[in-house]
Amino acid sequence: MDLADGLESDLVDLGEIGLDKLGRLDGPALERALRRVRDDAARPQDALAGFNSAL
Amino acid sequence: MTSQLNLRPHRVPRADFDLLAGGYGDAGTIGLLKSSQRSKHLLQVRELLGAAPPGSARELRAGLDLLAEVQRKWPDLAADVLVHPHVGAWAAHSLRVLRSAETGSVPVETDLGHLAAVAATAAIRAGLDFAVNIPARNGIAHLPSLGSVAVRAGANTVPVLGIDGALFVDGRRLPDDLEAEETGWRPLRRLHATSGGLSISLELDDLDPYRNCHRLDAADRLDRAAVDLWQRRVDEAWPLLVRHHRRYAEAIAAGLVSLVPLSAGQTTRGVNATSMDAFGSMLVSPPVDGQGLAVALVHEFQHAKLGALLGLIDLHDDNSEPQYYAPWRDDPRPLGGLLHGAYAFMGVAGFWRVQRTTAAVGNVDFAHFEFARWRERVNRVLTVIVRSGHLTDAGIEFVAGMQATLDEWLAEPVPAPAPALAQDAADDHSTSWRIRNLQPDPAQVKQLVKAWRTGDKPPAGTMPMKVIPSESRALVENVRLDLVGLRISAPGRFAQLLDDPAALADAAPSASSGDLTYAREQYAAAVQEYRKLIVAEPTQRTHWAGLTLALRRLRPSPATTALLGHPEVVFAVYQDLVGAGETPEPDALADWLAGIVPGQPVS
Repeated sequence: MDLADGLESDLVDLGEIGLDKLGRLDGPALERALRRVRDDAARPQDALAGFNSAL
Repeated sequence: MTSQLNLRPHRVPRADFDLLAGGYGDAGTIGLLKSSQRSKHLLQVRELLGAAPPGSARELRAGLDLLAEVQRKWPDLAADVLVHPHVGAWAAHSLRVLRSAETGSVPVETDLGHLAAVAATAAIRAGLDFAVNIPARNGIAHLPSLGSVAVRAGANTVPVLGIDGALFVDGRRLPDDLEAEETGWRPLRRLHATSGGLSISLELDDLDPYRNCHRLDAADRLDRAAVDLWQRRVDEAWPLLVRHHRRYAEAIAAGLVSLVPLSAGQTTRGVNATSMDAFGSMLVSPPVDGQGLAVALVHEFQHAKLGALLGLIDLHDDNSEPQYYAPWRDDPRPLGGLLHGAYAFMGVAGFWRVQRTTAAVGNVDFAHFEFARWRERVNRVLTVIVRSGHLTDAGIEFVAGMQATLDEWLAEPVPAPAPALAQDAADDHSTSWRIRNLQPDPAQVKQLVKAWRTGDKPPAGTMPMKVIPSESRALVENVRLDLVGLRISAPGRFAQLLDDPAALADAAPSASSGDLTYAREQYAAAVQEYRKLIVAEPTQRTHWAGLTLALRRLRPSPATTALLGHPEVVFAVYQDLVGAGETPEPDALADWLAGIVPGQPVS
């Protein structure tokens, strides 16, 4: 794999999107990104706990 | 009408990927991760809009409309509010409740209405005139990152009004200075520190209804003395981080927003947590000193960085089988958890690596011990991760970057006694973990028992091994490790205790006779003590681990080979014999089982 140009994410950049348009966005890129959100929402989150910094 | 805009994907530039893989990441890298988190939060809101039950979406839309109004005039402010870690915690929790992956503690309208409270915070910070209804729970309404206000008991929603700079919640006027506490208004307190030109400003969040995303026991409202103590710890930790760990400090300053204090009743030891839902928030138990807080911040922010990167690209497949040994936990971990732990403890190793060379540190030996301990453990885990076959191409590159940093650290000399003590600590944990979580094939255990009774050699061949996950998810107390820590960090005090057996027993009340004898380095006597303890309490894993360490300190032997390599087999055969009324000598049995070859554990 050539990572010279960096990595492209499935996560779409919504930084420039007007919030009044958020509910009306559509399209395959958005759908791919939402799939990950749905996958995350389908399972409980496991917090990463347990570091013991005090001997 | 839908809108098919040409949405750009987020990208991770090679330079940032390399920085993160090496264990670091600068302020620019953190900015990139934060930007991706904001997009994630917006996607979650987008998904909530579609998933909200009929009649409940209006609660969400009211918040979104007000946020859109703020965004039109102050886009940076709206962006800043949306990227807050507890907005992520709220959105993730609300989605899981709607998808039935979690149980909600309030009506769904209350969860969805929280976006209006987020929007109200944005409008207040923008100085807008506005009106919106926000949720109330048990007579309290919360304005995220600002504070909580007492409202009518029984009200589910209350109005918030901003008029010419004056703020009213449920008819109560809030103070002009929102950081001032007054009757009915509890402001969110902040911790500040500046050192070497680098500042940090953290919310000490004991109010936000979604702050408990870390799934431990978040503290309720702290009193003034507790807040002052947290500020003192930050005053101690921040200069240490900036002066000696600048790369970590710059990333933390750029990304850490919120400290959620752990309930003091939960534990007095250093238990901390990070949720992948809330980049920039971490739950931290009250630290005993600034150094403890500093290393906790480094550790937890490593989790945050990796979690945010994993939100952008896949480093491994979605194999979630908990089957791997993690030297920092008592339970088997899935590959993702193993990678997270390795990355976090790489930060810990990096912290102690520098601490041991810092003249300001009082006890260099302790830093040597911690550095030796964590670099070895992370190195061991990286080998397992690479061989797992579950990494993506990007994951292979990422772990190679971690390994490159670690290889440099592994080449650095560490003076005695730290390496031997670190090895003991590693083997202590590994022995207990194997006994706890690995189950040898019961039929083969029976064959071994039969062979032992008849005086035969153990049957040849590989013994299948099954992973049986334990219930506990975190490190449990290990008194032998506490004694090692005392020996290294306070050698004078430790020497005094060795001369005073009663005081030693008082200092380590949960230590067994074997542990205390072992601490005195009387290894032959410690072996005798552990043998007696095993006879009395054959299922206590800690006695077996203690016997293993004491035997090895006396002289490496076939018995120590068995107890270090496959203690679960020795343990299982012993339990079977004891169950039949027999009491073999534990190390004699281990010696007999030295030739056993344990199979690769499977779930």
